[in-house]
Amino acid sequence: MSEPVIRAEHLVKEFPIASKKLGEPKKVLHAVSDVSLSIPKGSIFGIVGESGCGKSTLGRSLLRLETITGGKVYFQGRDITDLSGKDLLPLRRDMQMIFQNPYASFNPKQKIGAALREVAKVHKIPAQEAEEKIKYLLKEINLPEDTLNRIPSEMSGGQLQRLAIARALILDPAFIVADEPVSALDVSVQAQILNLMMDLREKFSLTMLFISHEMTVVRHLCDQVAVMYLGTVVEQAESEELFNNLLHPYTQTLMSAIPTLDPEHKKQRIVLQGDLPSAIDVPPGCPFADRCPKCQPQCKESRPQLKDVGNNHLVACHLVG
Amino acid sequence: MDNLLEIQNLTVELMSTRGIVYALSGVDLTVRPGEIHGIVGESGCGKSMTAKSILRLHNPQRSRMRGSIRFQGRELLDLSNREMEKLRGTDISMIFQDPMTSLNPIMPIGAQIADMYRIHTKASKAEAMEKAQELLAKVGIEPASKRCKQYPFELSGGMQQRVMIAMAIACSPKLLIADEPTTALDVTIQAQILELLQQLSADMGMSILLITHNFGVVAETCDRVSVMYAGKVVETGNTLDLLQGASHPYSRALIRSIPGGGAKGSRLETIPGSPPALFEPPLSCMYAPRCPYAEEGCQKAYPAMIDCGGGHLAACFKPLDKEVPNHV
Amino acid sequence: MISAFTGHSPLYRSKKKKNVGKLFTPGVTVAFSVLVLILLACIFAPVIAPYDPNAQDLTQCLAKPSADHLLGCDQNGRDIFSRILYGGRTALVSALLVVAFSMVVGIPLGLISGYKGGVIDTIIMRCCDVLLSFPSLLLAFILVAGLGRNTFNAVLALGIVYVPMLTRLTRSLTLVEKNKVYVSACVSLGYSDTRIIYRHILPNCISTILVQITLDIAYAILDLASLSFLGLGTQPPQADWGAMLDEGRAVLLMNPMLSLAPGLVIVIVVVALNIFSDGLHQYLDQSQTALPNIDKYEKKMNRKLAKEGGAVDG
Repeated sequence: MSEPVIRAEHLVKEFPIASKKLGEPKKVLHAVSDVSLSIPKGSIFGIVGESGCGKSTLGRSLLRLETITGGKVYFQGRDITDLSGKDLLPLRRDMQMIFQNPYASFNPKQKIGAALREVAKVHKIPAQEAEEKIKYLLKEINLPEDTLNRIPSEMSGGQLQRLAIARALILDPAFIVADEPVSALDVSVQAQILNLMMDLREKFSLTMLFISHEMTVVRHLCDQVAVMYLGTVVEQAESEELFNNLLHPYTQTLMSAIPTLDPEHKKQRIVLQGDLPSAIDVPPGCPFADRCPKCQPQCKESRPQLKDVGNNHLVACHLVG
Repeated sequence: MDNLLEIQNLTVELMSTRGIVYALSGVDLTVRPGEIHGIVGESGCGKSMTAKSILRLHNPQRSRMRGSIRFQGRELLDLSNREMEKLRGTDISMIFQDPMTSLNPIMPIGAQIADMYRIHTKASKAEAMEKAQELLAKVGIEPASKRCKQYPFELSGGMQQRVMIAMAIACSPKLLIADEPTTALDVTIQAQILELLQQLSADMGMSILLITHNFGVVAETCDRVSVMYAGKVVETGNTLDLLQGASHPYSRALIRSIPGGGAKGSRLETIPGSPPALFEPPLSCMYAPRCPYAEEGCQKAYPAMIDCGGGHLAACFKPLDKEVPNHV
Repeated sequence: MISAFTGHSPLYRSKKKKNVGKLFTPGVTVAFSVLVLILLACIFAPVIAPYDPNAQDLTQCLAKPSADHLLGCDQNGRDIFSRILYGGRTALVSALLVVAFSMVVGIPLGLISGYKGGVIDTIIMRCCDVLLSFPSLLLAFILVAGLGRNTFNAVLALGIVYVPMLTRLTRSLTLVEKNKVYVSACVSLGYSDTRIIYRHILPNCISTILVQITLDIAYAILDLASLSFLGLGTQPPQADWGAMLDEGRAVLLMNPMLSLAPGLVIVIVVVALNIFSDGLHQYLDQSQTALPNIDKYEKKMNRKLAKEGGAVDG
């Protein structure tokens, strides 16, 4: 197997928290604790989880938009864990990000055309070539050329999200992180964007980390899926395998909590008690133990490790496998 | 049949920084006693606008409302401002998408609920405090005696929304308007809140007008549902009926664009074009430019709601065959 | 419950969607015209002024206003009207220079301080705190006393005094912009800090800064007049509004016009600048725009359309 485009080994990201009282010991927020993953070329890796589970921080850490507390990140085989400042700039050309809110991710005072051309200019792509590339991409995302003379507030959310994708593709990146790219959009627009992503993925053989809180979207788009809870991966497998064979109790509840159109579904809903615990004082045992309907005494004592239960299906649960 | 709320031909025009917006154009909607009625639609379709209009929350200087909103037989558009104030919070109450901005950040939640209760009932302080604890227990914030001293920032989003619900049901309203109550919450928390709303509706015999953009939420909680597009209800019917066989082309397209039905990687159905800006008043069917079934007649007149059988109404000249299921 | 749609009220149909808010409301129009008029008068002072501002006609000492001397003459027999025109050149140019200096220094400092944060932010902000802890005019006095009394030094001193205020404003605006997603997008696209600060953050802060700057010009005119009045700014015989106030003080009872005229001009300019700045603020911040009454607005648009011969349908 060839070298994966991006690989993380035991990645840890912690944020220090300012102490509220004088003399109180410094606390840290464990945003991502011990996550390993690798994404081969041309595949889409999905990360699902609720807000605050560390999925966005994981994406930003892989792009090195954050400093890394522990572990290693390799991009195309090269260790990029400790790069900083100017050394990161060439890396930005090969790695791109797509954000959740398309209105917020464009400079409101800049015309669309200027925004797209600026990307090319910063990375020293000749103007002529850039112009051709932009026109080509506009055609790919189904927007007319006069879009270039507009400002972001004149566009709809769906159009802007398509432009955000085009902006990310100008530089032919090797790796893209899409952070909830369809969550802020209406269903019919969401469908347009997902279709577009599937088309472009074929055409440009994109490698992507797709972050979402919607299981259905991830299921539709991704090859590999990891479910995160409180900074750790609790279950990971090929998309088909994972959704046909939900093993971790958290994944099961998450899946059952999604309201679906199927009227039969309602009867099997598992309603979880309580809220997501804080990522500051993480309990020593399984992070899900407090809310888990199947919790056993051992779950509160030792943290389960991810283990392969066959078919490359990894689960971190004492009760499985 | 005795309807709790009956909206007929409601039009709302609003002043905006870019001119007059024709926000609602002839909305027809009925809510029966004790039912959970969903309003679904994409952003800007007027679903929140409808809710705000029921409570008359628009600035009268910058808006104009026409048509009829009858609540328990009383015409709300004819009530004086004083009478309307009395109605809000007692007979009709409302909860919003973002509970954090609706709560006073520097007041304990128990005191906020008690305050709200006293405004409407003239109860004593002690009585109101007792009621507040009772309400907190009712919405599942326990132990209530301890939690009622907490401030909003000490609570999670789901708990804050529970506090909002407690406040809304304090005076046992006949109608609770819930404007995207779970949109800001995670799915597991959303499931809890929806469960709570259903339980309260059943226990108190309270009708709920649930505004959402999520068809899944509608399927699981609502008895009946109305689909809105460009300031008009385009289809109303029993949830099951509508979800399985929508008559209006827009409803059908919307339901089909939800991922999850087809196989992985299959193309999702989309609706070409985008919804119209409402700066111009509608003269014909607003969906016609995007509708695959549109004919010449659709561009010329404004469709009225017609009965497609069994109380299933659709505003379309050529309603689709209900027997053809939504998912092919 | 089947009902037919009865339609909206009689409607106008407009082609262009323009913002309802306007910059030139009646108040702002008046203020702006006054400012332009005064500015033009000062620029073309050599053409308009009937006399040389420094020419003394001792026969006309303290002359009352007349056809020859519109506003009369001062104790040295110089024409007050001409001196006001030439004095305006000094006062306005100095005020503009003060603000320009504070912009050139203050805005970049604020942007860097807000964007970079950390030690750089702390150093810049503490320097601002030190400057701000003195009463501003007192600080200007000290600087002028150290540098020597003349117009240039007064401008420099006031310029320095105005820097921290602008720096603080720019910094707080930058802090807001910095946390917006488009800045993250810029970082992830590999833009340099300088590019992000000047090409992206600055254009999004500039409108608020602009409002502050128009106000600063008004303050600068007042402060410069104060300095000149105290003899620390423009030195005689050069004409200047503040200095003229001082010259008139001695003969206030004999010819009040000598102080009254420059005083009035200062008041008019400052008030006009304030009104203009307020209008600008409302225009740039659409959320501040008071929306018109819907009925009145509709009538207005219908009338406008009828005038243009557009179709008004019922």
